[in-house]
Amino acid sequence: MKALLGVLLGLLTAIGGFVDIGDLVVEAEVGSRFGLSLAWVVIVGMIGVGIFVQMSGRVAAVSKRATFEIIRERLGPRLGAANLSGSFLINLLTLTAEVGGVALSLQLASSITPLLWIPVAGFAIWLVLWRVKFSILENVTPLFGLALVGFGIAVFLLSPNWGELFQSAFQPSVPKSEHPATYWYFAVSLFGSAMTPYQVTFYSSSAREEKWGLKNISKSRLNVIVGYPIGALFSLSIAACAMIVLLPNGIEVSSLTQTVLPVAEAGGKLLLAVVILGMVATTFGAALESTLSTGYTVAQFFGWSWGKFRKPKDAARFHLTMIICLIIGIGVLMMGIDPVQVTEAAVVFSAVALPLTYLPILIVANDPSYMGKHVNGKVLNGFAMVYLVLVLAAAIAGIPLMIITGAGA
Amino acid sequence: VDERRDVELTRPRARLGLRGVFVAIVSCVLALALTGCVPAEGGPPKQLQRAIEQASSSEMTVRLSLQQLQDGKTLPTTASTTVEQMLTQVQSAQKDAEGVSIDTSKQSRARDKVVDTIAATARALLAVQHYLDNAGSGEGAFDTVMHRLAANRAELKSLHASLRPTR
Repeated sequence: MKALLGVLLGLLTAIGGFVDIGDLVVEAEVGSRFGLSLAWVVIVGMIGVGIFVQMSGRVAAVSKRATFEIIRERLGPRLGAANLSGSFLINLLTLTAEVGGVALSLQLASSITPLLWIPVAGFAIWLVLWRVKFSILENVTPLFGLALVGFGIAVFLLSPNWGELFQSAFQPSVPKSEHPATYWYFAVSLFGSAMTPYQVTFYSSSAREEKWGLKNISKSRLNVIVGYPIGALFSLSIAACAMIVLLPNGIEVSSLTQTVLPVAEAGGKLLLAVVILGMVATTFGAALESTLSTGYTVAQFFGWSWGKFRKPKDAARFHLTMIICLIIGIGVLMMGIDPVQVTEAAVVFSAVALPLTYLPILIVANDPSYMGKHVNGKVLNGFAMVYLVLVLAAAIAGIPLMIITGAGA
Repeated sequence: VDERRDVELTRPRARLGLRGVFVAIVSCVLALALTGCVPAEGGPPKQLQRAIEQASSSEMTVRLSLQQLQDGKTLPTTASTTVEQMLTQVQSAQKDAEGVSIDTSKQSRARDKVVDTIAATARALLAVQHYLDNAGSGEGAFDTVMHRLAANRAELKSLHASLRPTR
């Protein structure tokens, strides 16, 4: 019974933890401009992140090393440091976006300016990281994040023209009002928001935090195979809501308040309150994970003592790194920079930086000296190679598309 | 596996690739800077149209949110946040329109007209904000602000149609 509950908990957290500020912003933006014609990217990204995190979890469980310990070992200090810089900066950008997301979500519930919520959110994140056990912080926020099912409920309550929705999803095309470059820019953004590097760092490090062994691999695989597709449906329902309510009204999403308009339209105050709770939980959870990831990347690379399983005094530099990163993120937001714009930049640069973590993990997952008999199988390697091409294509195209389209404008 | 790990972990730490780090940081800064250099496809009329679309989208958002508030579908805090954020968006659209470089006197007149209309949209949103701050006071106040927003939207729409993007 306890094992079954454990599996269920893992599944629910995989679903609830799938969506973050990147999805909340980009999915709504895409839905309001392209309908569901970019739904295929969400599916491609979902499969990609599933393969990637499952591979990193397996590597951590078998080799007993987390991602950046491996990167340092395999790439050496020079190339590894360049890798660390790229990944660390993306993590920092994501952390900033997520803290901003918490503040914006709280503003929806209180109408108090985000500038007042940002330090509060930052302090709460630090307090949780300092005091709360890993198993609790890892599970509680994704469970509340399940409240985002409200977007899915809203889709049904809005009684859409299902034929139109399915046609938009299965016969994707670029709307006449949009340039093809903008379509591909948002495709890269969605891909980046699905395959965020911090998720992989967090996943592999949490495998070490929880001292995963071989028996955990199958459980992890189940979470990914069942949980992620449901999480992707949550994500798609945000775009569907935007397509049903915002697109016909000529509303292009540029803020989080517009993301929740369809929910209020469909389910009134109650559903809106549920979704706002989900938004606060999911952005707070992602802020915790991305903050931890900044600490993990640096501490693992430099060989410092790290992990929530240690007391803060025994992993002082790990905790100090996280505190400094949080202060930087809060500082950036307090300058008045729009968190939505930070998010839009974060998802594109995530796609650009993706090969930095993807490639070393793929190499190690095929290295018998690390993995023994648990190296990638042929089928998985086939998928992984296809995704390597996709990841590289997105990384190369991301910045040029950002420049050409004026960041999707 | 363990032997290999021990060897790797006890290996003397080599000098970090500072040049690589520098190149990575410069590349990121350059990429961020370049995103500001957007080619102006369609010329000034297209840029003005874009500003109108932004203002129009914000205005429509406020109308929808206000209607939801009237129907008891949204939280007052959410409606208030929506108006505040949309006002910022409209002000940003106004700045964008003011910053459009024009080539001819005809375009100059068009730009002035667009800036004036977007400024009127901002004033309409301020009126909505005032209405929300004094919610419940005054009969017909809701209809007045909604009519003002609708009239403003019609003006934005006709102005958008009157602009012809250049190739």
